[in-house]
Amino acid sequence: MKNDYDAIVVGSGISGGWAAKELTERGLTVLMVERGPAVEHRVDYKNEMKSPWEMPFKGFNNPEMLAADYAVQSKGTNFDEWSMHHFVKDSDHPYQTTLEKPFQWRRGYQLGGRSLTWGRQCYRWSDIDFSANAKDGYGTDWPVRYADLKPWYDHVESFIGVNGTKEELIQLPDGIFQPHMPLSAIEQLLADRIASSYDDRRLIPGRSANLTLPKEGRAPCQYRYICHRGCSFGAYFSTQSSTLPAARKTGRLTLLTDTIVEKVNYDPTAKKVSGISCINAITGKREQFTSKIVFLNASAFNSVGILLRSQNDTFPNGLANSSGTLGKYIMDHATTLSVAASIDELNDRSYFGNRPSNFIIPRFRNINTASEQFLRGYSYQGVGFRANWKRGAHEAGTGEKLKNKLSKQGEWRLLMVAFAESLPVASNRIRLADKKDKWGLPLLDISLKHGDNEHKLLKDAAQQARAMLGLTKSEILASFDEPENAGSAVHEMGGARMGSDARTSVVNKWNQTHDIPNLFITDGAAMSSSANQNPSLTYMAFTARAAAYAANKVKNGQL
Amino acid sequence: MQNAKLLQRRTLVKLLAALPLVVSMDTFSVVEKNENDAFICCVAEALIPGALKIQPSKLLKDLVKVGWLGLTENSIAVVKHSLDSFKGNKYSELTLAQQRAVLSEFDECCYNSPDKLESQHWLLLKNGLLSLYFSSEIGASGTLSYHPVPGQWRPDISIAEATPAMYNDWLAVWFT
Repeated sequence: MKNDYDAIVVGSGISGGWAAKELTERGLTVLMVERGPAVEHRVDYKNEMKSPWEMPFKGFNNPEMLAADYAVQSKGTNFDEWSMHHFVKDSDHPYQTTLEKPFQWRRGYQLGGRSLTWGRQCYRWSDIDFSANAKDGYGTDWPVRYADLKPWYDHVESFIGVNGTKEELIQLPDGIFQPHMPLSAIEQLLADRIASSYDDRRLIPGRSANLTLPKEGRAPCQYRYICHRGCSFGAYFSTQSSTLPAARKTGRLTLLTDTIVEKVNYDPTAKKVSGISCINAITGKREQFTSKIVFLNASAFNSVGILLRSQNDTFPNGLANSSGTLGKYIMDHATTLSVAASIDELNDRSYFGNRPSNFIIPRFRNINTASEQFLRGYSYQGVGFRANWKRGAHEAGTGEKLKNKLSKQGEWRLLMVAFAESLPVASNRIRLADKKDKWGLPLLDISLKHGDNEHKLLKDAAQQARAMLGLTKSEILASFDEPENAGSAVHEMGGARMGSDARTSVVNKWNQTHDIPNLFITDGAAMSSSANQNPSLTYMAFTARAAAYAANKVKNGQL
Repeated sequence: MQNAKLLQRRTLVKLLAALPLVVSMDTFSVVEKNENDAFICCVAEALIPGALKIQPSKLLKDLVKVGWLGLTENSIAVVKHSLDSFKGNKYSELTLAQQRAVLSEFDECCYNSPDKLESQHWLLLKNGLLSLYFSSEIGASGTLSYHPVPGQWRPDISIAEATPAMYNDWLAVWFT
């Protein structure tokens, strides 16, 4: 195996896969380094086809093992007995978090990273989002606007396949969509009631990276809703189904798994990075690789961690950190279950199949009018479904009567989860802890606390959700207005923010570090604000855009 | 000799599993020498007719050791004690009809007094037995409709077309 490449991509998840695809397709030789084991498409989705009775714990897992090894991961979405091997063992990968409400760091250390288990929701950001920092003064102004990213959103959506509807909303730009996955009967009922009662909001089908039409060797969705196990149909976007095959097809990709990047190496004479130093995760053997450029795509906080531990004489506080902002201004959407309700309408209607998406109510606060109570806004994602056999444990009943009842679908339920924008503040930060992991690398210490604005947003979200549900014949089962622990949205962002001023930001508008021209950060670390939309589509667009820029520079001998 | 006994017992269990649902509880005491196992079989069958076929005591034995779904051996012991003393007769020695009637009344009492210790343990055991049954091949594929690959999304159909409930409506499994 050779040790020198045009580019090194650290991480193989959503953005790493995109970096590898774009750079190889543009003619560069690429080494993609993944800290976890290989997971090959189809052959390694070991539990995908298993029925509950084939699982040791019938799909409900071993609580002793969860408490010992998966205390954080097991509380998250898409973690279950079938998919747990797509998440890290917390016991093997500790981190520090010192707050009363500890940060929930959900991770997947394997080829494909969290692209295997992500929620697949894809939303463009608008100029309302890219100009928010400039408008209210929190964070630093984005050096880009929607027009800069639009062609790259187009590029990404065309490749990954996103289903959705065109709505012509200024806060949620339309994209290039495959046919949408329609609302269920109860969701459509609520959508109609909202449309007739409110001018400022609407309930629309979610936009997700699940195919509704076949696409380049990938089959359309089979409506199983078990995406997180891995999908042999290739029906949702993951590194395995989409970007990795494209990168491999070029013949210019070298993939290295079970390899932890210890640090990015810096050449003070050339004032460039020269490559990476790695540790084999299994043998502990150390190795170095060199390249013309390095792309960090290790996930927002891990990319920051690599930079912090790559400190040297030139950058004593972390590589590319002349601004002193590295590790600061981290964010995660403040999220909570705004409402859960049972609905006593449409009792003669139901649905068939398991739609792997949801509905959304895009942000409606602070769009055309300004709230005096809070800045920015929130959106909802929700589902309407019928209760099933699990309800048998919640109500009295035994014998044939119970069995007959549970063999039929139960009442309609409707959930609405709010995602509120997280303001970028310097006190929310990552730093290196004194404790070290089993490879001798310092742990990350994560401190992220939702502030007053986030609390106000979620309070309003709960009130509005209850009001909207009040348009139906419903009974509120639960309604919360306090955020879950930070990290619960699994949308962690920031720590190496983008800005036009090298004194106050880490990367420029090309995701290129201000300090070191051949070092790029294109995962969530580079985000300067959080908006309220799921961020992965934007990571992909930024990555593709930065890769095109970097590849061009390499080919021209400028990097 | 030991193996021969085991074989006999296994054969008996298999034969029993193949029997129609109407099985006298006296038979359980022959098959399930362990009193607790016999109790689990009796309760499971009274709760969900046909549950005996999935061999609930055998399945539950290992699961309770790790506190599966919050269920422990203590929960079973508390419920057993409560049911044994509920009407003054040992539960396992009642006829199936009596067991069904007693369990129904006990269940009703537990939901009416959810703070009582026996109520909390019963709700755990009830949830465990329902989960065991409906995640079994018999329960999921038979009583419900297990579709490994639904293949389509029909967002608005008549409720008449939607029965039996799909086991693998995962949203409903997670959030009900």
